[in-house]
Amino acid sequence: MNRETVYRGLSNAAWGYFFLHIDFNLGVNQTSVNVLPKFVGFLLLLSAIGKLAGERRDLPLLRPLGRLLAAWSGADWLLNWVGQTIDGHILFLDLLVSAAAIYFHFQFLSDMAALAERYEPPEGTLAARLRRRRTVYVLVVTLVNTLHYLPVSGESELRNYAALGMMLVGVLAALFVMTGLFALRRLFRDQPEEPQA
Amino acid sequence: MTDFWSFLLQTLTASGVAVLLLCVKALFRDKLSPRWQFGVWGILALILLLPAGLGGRYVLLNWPLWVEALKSALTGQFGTLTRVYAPIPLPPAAPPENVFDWLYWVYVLGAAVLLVLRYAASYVRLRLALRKGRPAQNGQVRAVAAWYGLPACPAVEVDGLSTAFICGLFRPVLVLPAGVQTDDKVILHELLHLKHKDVAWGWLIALFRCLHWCNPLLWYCADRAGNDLESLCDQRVLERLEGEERRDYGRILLSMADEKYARTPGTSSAANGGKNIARRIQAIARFKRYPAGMALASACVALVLAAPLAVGVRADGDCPAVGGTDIIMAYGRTTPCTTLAGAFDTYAKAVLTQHFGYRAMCAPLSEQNALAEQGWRLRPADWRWPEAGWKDLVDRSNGYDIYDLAPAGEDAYEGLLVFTLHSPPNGEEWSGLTRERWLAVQWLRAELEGERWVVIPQESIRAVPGDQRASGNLGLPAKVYEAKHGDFTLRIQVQTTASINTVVPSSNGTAIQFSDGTWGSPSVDYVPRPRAEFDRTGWAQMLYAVYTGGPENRKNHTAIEVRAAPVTGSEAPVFDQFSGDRTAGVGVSSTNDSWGSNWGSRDLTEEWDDWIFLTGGGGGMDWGADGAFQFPDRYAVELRLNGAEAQVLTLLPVEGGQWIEP
Repeated sequence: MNRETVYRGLSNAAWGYFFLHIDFNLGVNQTSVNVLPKFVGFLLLLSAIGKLAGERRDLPLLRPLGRLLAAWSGADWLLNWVGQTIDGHILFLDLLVSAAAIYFHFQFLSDMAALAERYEPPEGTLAARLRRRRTVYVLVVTLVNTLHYLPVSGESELRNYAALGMMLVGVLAALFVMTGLFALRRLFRDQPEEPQA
Repeated sequence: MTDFWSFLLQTLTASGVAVLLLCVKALFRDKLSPRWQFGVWGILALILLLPAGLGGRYVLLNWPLWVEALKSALTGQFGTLTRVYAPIPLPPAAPPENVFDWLYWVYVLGAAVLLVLRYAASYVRLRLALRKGRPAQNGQVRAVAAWYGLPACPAVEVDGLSTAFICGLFRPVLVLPAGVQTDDKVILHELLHLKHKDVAWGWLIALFRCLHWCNPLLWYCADRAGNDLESLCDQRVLERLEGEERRDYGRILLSMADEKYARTPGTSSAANGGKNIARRIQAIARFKRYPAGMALASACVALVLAAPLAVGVRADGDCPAVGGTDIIMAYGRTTPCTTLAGAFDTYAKAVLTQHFGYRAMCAPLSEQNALAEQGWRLRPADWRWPEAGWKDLVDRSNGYDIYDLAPAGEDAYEGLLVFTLHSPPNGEEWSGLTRERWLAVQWLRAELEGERWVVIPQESIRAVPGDQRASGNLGLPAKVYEAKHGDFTLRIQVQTTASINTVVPSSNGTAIQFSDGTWGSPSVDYVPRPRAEFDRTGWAQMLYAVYTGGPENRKNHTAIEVRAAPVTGSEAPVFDQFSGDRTAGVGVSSTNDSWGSNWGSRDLTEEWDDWIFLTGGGGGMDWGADGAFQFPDRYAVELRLNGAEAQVLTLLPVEGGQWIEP
């Protein structure tokens, strides 16, 4: 194992989640454009998959989903430049992408937790924490994607509050995932010995 | 399903979901477990069991729109709306009249023949054949069941069979080929079918085959679902086997690849055809024990697909930008106004934009054919609905208001639609004075037609001189209550307004061009909101004492005081308290449930007009969930003239009242 490669892979993964969940919008020609585009986040996660494939044999199986999600968010980002969005126009594709995103994050974070389990000391709790955060994160992503379609007649305020609440929980869950990944990265900076497989 | 079109709507809706599921399954083929691969077909089953278009919603694509458009294009009919009352074929109400009625009969007969002759009869034949079988020595079956902790059932041996299968749901029998030693793993497979009652799934799949016998896509999905059920059973078997036993199991399946099979509902068998066996072998090659956490991901993926598909999507108020009369009329019919306010809003915007497609959204079905005639007759650039004469007069930037909206029978309301005109209808120049403005008005009646609110104009649009002001509008009708006492007639006039806020909050200043080439204000949303509630409601009220006595009696009056309270039913009036100077003042109070209580007084020792304004006011109000203002039955007024003892009068409604300000 090349520790440096794994270290960089985990860095990419953590920063990938940063790009996925932190938006910084700038007004350009009467439109709002995110300067931390999500497709960059997915490209970072794809890069992480390449670097960590030696550690987790199943990780490359996520590549097709990662490419799909990167392409989708990249197309959305391009459309934002002309004041449009790709979401909500073709439900068929929306659902396909939502399903892909849920599985992608679940499996990716499960693999990260398995990596932590392998490399952290026996008394370590990082793997368990990563799994808990993964579960919360995936549940929030699922709820956001599900509630979006449920009819709330005449209660637009309720819907707005629910969306705001979900967004806050989602950002918090993503931040916890990021901190977990950075903690995992520290294992490869601090740990001198490679464990026996 | 009651006709050809409802069947088409149901089967197309299911087909869309089937395509999505096939794509999703391809995406997750090597990622999610056989349990998920089979379970996700439950979403399709759910869609097949839900009537398509339920509650005016569609799934994935706006199938109701396209079915309606196709129906209109092929039959020339616009006055009916395709509805699916049940996901099964129901007998037609009338004998066949056209080719589509005959096609529906063919469909119904096909479903019945398939269900009765193909499936039910073959199952009965099979059960009869099993009676000729010999009871098998149950030792092997019992041993396998005991070893794996599974339930057992009676077993019979039948000549000529190539493999074992379970037959029956309520009295299941394990059928074994006579004279052949059946492998324990095959028996394990069948006992797992027995334990999980997989035969029931087979019946359900067969039922869906019958219901959609002429849809090859759904038959393909039924095949895939059946195979996924076998893969799931293989997974269960493999979870109970170890090492070399798993490879043996794969070899057993391979040996079945060349066997013919004829699946009968009510049975389950490890052998299900060469191609299917090949898929199952591939699944076995991918076998792994899925971690417990994977169930969460599987459930989340299934939920994120199932919830939007089951709930569906409502069509919004915007008509397609392109398309002929058939499509626009179909859109109108399939985009129902589900609220009273939504119906009035849609009608008002149909007038403002001269769009007959919007009119179709809120027109009774009985008027749809005539409306379509109008659409066919005119080129899109010439659409002038309803009357071209008003197009250039109506000030579109002011939106609209509904005046005096009130219940008019069960599930019906009436109100006056009001637009402002930017110039007088007689061609004169407008002087610019507020009180000399003109309005266009039309009495409307809204009724609930099934699940749709529809609007029926009660008259042609007409122009009236009107005064646009915050509370009270001269020239427009008002609810008037009157009572006479001595030299005075007490008069209360009440006016209410309602509309949906049509202001575009983030207008970019670009004017909107309509299909007829005219322009609209960028700050007004001209797209109907068929599901909206009124969010701009207001009321105005004035109380007058009108002197009707002779000039010689005027000097006899020195002061007048009134307190008025609205009364509905048998409730007692609740009067406000006077406050301040009782000889000269007005007061008005309102709450949501008892608005309109007010008081007023005037000193008559100085000169006074015949119309004595005593009190009045107005403002916004919340109409609550009822959707329309409930005018009181009457007003109770406590009148005190010239300081004498107060008398309570009852003011009753007057027919044809108008808002008057002398």
